[in-house]
Amino acid sequence: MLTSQHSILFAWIVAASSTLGSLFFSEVMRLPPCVLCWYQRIAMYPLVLILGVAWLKDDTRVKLYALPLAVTGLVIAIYHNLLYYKIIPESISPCVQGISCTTRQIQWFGLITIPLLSLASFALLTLLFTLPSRPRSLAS
Amino acid sequence: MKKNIYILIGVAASLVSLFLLATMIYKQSSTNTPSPEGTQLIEMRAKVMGDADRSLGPSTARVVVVEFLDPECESCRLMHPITKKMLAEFPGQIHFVLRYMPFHGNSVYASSALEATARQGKFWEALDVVFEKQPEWGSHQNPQPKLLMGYLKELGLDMARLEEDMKDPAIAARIEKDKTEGLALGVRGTPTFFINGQMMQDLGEGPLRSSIQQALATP
Repeated sequence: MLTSQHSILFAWIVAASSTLGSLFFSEVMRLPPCVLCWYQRIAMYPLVLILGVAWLKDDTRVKLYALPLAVTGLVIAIYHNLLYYKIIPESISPCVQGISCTTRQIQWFGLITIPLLSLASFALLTLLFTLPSRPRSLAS
Repeated sequence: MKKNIYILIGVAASLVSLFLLATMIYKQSSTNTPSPEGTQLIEMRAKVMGDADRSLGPSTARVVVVEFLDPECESCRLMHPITKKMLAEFPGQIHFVLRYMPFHGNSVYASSALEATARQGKFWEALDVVFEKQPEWGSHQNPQPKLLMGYLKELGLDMARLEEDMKDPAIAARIEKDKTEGLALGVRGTPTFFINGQMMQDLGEGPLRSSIQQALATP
């Protein structure tokens, strides 16, 4: 079992990698983010800052503050994937202008897509913030 | 706390280095694509050109410039006089092909109007008017696409016929075909230029001129 402190550092790495990854797709590869991608970015980017501060301050209470962001992102990511994989028809999608939320821009190894990466990140973060972890005193 | 700072800085530096390395590798791999030659070049050019039914300049010209544009896009409006300038600068050396990539709310409407003007032989004049008046009919806060009809009327077009033609499913299909093919070619924004089948990475007068010059210099 991870210690609380370690789970915060691990969550910070997940959030920072997701943030840099999304910036790589939009700024380096020039793939325009769709509306739902933007909502997920809104939930992901602040986590890098608040988890970073919490790690520096050894403040494990941050999980309480970070969880709502992770769950919000997770809900949007689930919805995005349902649209993307045509489980929900696109006609009810909120994306009417700009790039469609179901446009396939990347498919690595025939499986990994951008919405799937986002879903994996938010799911992992939600788990890290909810699963019980060892307090520091027992760990050291 | 001190140890935590070092760990945080270390991990952050590693992630940022990884990001920069990936950026470098990506940029290098996209610029190192070898220039196509011979039949491959001809195939690529043909794929990008489509039907080439909205074109200027001799079809035998050495350089084929294909522009995917959106009549409602401001950057396309800015590039419009530049493409005209290039056609004048390189007379007879460029075959310019225009294709649609409707990304905005009224783009399909404006593109249909443009296609309908082509049936009356006034396409290029209409294109000038559409871009000149874009701030009025295509303002993002208050778009008034119907204003277009008034501006086009001044070109002496048969407006009843134009409005009838705009409803022709063949026109809608023509625009949709450009968009589908453009997306397949990797067009993600407008305007996107292809010089002899290769997508231009930078926009502006300088990049367009140097791409044309480079294509002219390639044997």
